[in-house]
Amino acid sequence: MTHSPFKKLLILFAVAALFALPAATAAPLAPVDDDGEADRFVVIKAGHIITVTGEEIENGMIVVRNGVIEAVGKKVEIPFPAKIIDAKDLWIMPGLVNPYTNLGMRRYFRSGVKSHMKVSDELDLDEEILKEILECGFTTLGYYPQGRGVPGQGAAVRPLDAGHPDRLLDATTYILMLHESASSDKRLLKGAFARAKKEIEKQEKARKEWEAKQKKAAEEAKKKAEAEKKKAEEKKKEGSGKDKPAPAPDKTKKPAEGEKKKEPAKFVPPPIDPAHLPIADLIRKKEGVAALVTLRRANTFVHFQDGMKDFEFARSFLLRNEPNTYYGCDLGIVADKVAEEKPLVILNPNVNYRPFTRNRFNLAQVLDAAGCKIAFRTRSDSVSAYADQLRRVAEMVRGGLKRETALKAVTLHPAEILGVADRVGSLEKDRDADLLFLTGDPFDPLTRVDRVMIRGEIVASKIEIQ
Amino acid sequence: MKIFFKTMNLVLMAALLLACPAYGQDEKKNRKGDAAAPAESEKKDEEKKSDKPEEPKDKYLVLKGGDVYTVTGPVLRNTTILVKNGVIEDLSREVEIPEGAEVLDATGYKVYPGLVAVSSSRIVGREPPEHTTDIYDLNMILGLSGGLTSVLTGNTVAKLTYGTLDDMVVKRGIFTTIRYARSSPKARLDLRNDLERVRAYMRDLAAWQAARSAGDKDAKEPDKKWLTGKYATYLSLLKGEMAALVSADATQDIRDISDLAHHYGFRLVIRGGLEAWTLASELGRKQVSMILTPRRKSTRRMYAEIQDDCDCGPICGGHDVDEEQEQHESEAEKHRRIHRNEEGAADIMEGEDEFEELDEETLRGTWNDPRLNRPSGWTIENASILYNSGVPFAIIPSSSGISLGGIAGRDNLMLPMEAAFAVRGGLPEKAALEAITINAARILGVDRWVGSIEKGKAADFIVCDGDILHYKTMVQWSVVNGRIVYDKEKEPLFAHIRPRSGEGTSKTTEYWPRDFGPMPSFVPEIEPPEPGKETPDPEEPKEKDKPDQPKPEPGK
Repeated sequence: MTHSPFKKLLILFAVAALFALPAATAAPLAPVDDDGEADRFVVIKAGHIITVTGEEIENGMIVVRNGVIEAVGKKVEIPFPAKIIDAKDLWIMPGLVNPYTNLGMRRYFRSGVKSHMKVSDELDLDEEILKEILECGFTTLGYYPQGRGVPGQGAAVRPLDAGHPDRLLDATTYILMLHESASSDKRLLKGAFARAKKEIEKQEKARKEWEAKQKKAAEEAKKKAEAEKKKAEEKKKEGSGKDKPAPAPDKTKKPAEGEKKKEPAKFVPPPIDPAHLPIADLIRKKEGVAALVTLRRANTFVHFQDGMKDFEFARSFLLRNEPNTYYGCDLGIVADKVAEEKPLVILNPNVNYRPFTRNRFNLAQVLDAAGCKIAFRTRSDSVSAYADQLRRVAEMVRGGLKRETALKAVTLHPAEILGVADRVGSLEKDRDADLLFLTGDPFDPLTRVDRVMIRGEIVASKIEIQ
Repeated sequence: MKIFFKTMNLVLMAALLLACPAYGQDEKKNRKGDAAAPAESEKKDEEKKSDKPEEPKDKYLVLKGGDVYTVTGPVLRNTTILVKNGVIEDLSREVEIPEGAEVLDATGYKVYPGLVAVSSSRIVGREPPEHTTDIYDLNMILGLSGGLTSVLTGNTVAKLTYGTLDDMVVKRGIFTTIRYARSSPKARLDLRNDLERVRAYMRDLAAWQAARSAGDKDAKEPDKKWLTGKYATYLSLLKGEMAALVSADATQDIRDISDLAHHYGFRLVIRGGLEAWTLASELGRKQVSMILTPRRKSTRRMYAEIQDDCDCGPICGGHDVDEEQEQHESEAEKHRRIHRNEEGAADIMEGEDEFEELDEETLRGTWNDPRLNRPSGWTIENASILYNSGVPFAIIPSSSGISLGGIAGRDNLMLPMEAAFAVRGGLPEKAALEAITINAARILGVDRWVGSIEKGKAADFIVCDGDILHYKTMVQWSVVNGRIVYDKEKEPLFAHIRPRSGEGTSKTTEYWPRDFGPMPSFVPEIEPPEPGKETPDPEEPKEKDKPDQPKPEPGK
């Protein structure tokens, strides 16, 4: 079923390849619908819907069309024909998103600045583990590149089989930057950004030179043309009744000149060092390029700000707040400074100790109150941690974190960090139907995952669907 | 013209008055909360400053009514210090408190300049400190609680600017290390030759400059291509830009190196100086600076004189011969080493033959060990004898870090105690205080900025509840660059030990845990949410504020 539209697309492209290029670009996706195959509709009658972005809906309905949510609400138009899933006893929420994980990946280590390396090129996942993750309720995983320095770019992956077309959600999510020691990491990052800036300046300089050259060439060409015109006029004046063998070579010359003009018309910038290209894109604020900076303690944040004061770029943070030490949880000291950026911050779902004491406090709550957007990762890269995630987050809610924040922290905010919030992370129109069917409130310890839906299809279920 | 200036003054005053109240409100808001708040507010203000350079707001700190130990001047009783933008602006009994100033009442307290440690480890980061320091580290708070405000780290003097990286570095490139060990005559010869060469160059340079200024155009500039590496260091040493730091404890070593420094005229700092008291008048004449550790009684080096040639840089207390090295050395080398050792021993004994027959190993460390039986070694009076001979010296503890391992109280947390120990040996208290403030600053070459309380110097001082050299005294506030970076009552370290009178209570709940401002407690004040019901927003307590309204019935 799921392969059929893609096969059609393939055929379409094959057909399109027969025609000229403009024809292919003109062909919209509409013919898929026109081709005779009806849209696949799924209607979910839900007992309780957690939309994350909007209000929660009791006894609502969700209409899914071709794997994408068409409508959510109490009263929606039910299409026909449609597969109807009765989930009146169940709670439905968007699938969980883990923004920073490494589960099921082989281990490797990279150091230095290698921002062009992509995890999506290296994906080698243990599918058994993926299946288990899926059953824990996770529908999107943000894999991170391993190592130190700037080890590369992450990837957003759905825990599906390797051949599944919907598996890779986004091949380039964030550029990971480790800033965990004030000394060496700071130096490395500063160096990387300075280098990227230099590369940009190199390109700009080349562009200016090229433009100046173009101007000169254009002026010269103009002068030439004028001179030729004059010549031609003079010739005309000299003898209008004569044969015209002379203009013929002119004609042949003109296209030659035109070709010369066309050649340099396309400015080819000098290539940027590939390891620094994504960082250069980051500095140039290219859309969709963002960084994830990992911090270890409050001072590393201050040092990061100090080192990067000349650069403004899209960035979110990850803090390693270990559960049983005060290291890492002292970010609360600089909560106001962090919140000035209003960043997304990935935390461990841990209630931490205050620095130098055994008093506990809720860092997530502190940062949320200060104005940061919180996202939770799992406490470790293990299946048991994935299975525990909702209970852990429930513990954070018990510890004072707002329920709304907690819900966003496992769905929407991690999706924003991965740059896929326009597709997953919330339950609203035009989002992919990556849904979680729960037997109760997600933060109730008795609740378990009933089924998991990805792109409108149930991919994991523990009870039979009637 | 005069009238014009007067009107200008008036306009300026008016502008200042207009600017001040707004700033004051800002500051008050921040002062309500925590220890970190002033730092942050200051940073914000600085940022604002950088945004709008045309309206710089002056920051004032007023320290009211303390007994100010200026160190370089008299003790000023009941005196107020006015700090403007991190610099001491005024010192007097009648200071007009500017509007919006942060006021600290130090009545009854003693105010000292921030202590200067001529050696430190792990209090601020390694070099470069402004890029490596953990500005929220426990060690930094502990250092401040011990009164330190400036320390030498690596070869840089840095301040303990808790919570900010601004204005951290005072000066770089303080010392150059030279080795002048008795064990290696060749190294000594090389050093002398190098210094001679550099001095010859300096003479040539001076001659050339003189010739040129006299109009001689044929004069050739001396070649300076070779002045790289160690020669460049020696040049800056001979020019007086840097000081030489040498570790020396034994009389002979101290005499040798001070002779060299006197001969070539460079600034010398001797670290260790266990036996310096035997040469006190000589060192006073040569104006050699010392770094002393009064409680350090002996080193391994005292027993084995041959091993003072190590590669550990300026901060080294001496080494035994590396075991590995011992394994790898040839028989001939071993023989040479032991032979040399015997020679050294004989040197010291100066003709006393009665020990010759005895095995060196059996004598080592016993009552009749020849190395210990001479008019030398440690004395508690070391510092006081040097002081009486006019030798400038700084005092440091034997451990330069802050640790609870080893023998507690011998690290940089207890700097005044180390100085107090010299007082026990007869050193005047004033001199002991100088040894950990202005003299330390002079040795590091940073006395222009730190080390005493004077107009125009950086506002680094500590407010103590008693005499700094008394074991009972605690630092109440530490101020660095005009910012209060440590308040005893607000840190969980020593707040419960003799809390300040009139400042509330000694209940642990009052000061523990550390206050980080808006940090809600772990236990929520709201009721646990029912499953399926949304948690009420804690920011909008509806029922609590309106007790008159009937509560909605459950279920509806």
